Amino acid sequence: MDKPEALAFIRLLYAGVLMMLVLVIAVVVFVVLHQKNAYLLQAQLRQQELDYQASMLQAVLASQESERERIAQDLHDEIGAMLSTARLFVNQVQYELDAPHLQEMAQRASHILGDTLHNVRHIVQNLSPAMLEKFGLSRAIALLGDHLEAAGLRVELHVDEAAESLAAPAQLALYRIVQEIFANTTRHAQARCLTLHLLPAASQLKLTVTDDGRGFTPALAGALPARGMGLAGIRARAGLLGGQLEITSSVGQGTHIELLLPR
Amino acid sequence: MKYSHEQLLILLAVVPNVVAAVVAARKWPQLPPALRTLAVLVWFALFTEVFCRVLWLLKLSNLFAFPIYITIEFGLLAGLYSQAIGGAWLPRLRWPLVVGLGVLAGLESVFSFAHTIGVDNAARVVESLFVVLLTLSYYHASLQRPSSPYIWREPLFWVSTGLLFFFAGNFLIYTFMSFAFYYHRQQVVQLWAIHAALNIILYSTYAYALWISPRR
Repeated sequence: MDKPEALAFIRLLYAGVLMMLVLVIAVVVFVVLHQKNAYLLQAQLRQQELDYQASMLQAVLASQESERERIAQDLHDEIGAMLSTARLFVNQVQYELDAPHLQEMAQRASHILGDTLHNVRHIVQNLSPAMLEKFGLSRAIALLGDHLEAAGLRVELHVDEAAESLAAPAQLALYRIVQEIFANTTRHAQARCLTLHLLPAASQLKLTVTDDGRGFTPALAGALPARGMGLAGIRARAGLLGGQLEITSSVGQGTHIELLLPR
Repeated sequence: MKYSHEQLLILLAVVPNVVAAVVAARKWPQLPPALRTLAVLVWFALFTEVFCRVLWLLKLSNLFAFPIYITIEFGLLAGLYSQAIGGAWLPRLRWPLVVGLGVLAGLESVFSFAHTIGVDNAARVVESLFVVLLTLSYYHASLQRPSSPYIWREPLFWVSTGLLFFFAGNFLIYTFMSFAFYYHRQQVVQLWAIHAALNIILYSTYAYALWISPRR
């Protein structure tokens, strides 16, 4: 049998090791419980931050829309009306004049005023979603397509009726996205053909736009202010719609844009 | 030859190490860098264990391997945590700590041989303290920057838990070892049995961590 002091020593040691292990278990349990809480708190904070950013973005876009609306209204009511009146006067003047060279000048001035008026109307149409409100998304996109065709592009459009079932803010965002894509195609792509399909895909709506232009490197697009801003606008609106945007392009290979939207 | 329970436990303590080494070999291609360091540690520990047992069977002293083993073990653990915890302090302190521990273990070994005393434990106690601090730093980092709600799905959680059990127990065992060696020599085997039990826990957690390791 062990000596009493040997027994006391080994019991003391066992008790010490046991206490140490209990302490370790306590530390581990504490970490497991608090780590989960810390993760949930962090996720909550991250979500709050994302929600705040989304609401800020929404506010910025809403104020942009109302500002566009105001400018369009002013252009239409003030500048447009004044240009129409001025054109009427110039037309009147050319009938009142006897001198042929003055008649010709008045006719030219009338043409210039007519062209300016046409341009102002075009700007007003771009700024204001009046077409969307009047005719709906399919027709508004078709009108945008007509403008592209007028600029010399061959355009193929297929917009399904399902697009009309989107809520008004979503239709406006989608309209602005298409408008921005078309503007980029006109300004930068040097394309000859453009195809747009807006079709239902399961519980989603799928927008695909393809052109045969000179293409670009999407990763470098941010470095070009004009294109970077346009793409950033498209991305911001797509994000607000809860959509998944994919832009595929490379130099000389055209551009393919795909956007999946929840219906 | 009849073995006591304690001796059996000590002999069988190598089994989880073998299992961990096999898992490490099987999972090696998909292990992330931090766990590759763990795999190297597991293989090194197995090699040292086999080497020391061969020397023991040949009735040769294997104590010279002790300072080499603890220096490399601590170096690999410091490397593993440098990659896992992030931050600047550990990579900066890593090498001074490893070299300092190596020098302490080496000096201790030289003086032990000079006095022909069995084992001295300052290096092991210091290593235990350092490793406990490393594991607590990992827990602290996990609380500060949690990457998932379920920490028990992280391989490093199991590695740290195993290390904390092993080195917290070791700290006590090595603190009492010299006392037991002088005054209760017959109890030393019981201390080694506790050490073997902790070793089994450690290598089981290593094996589990390597088994659940995510892809690179």
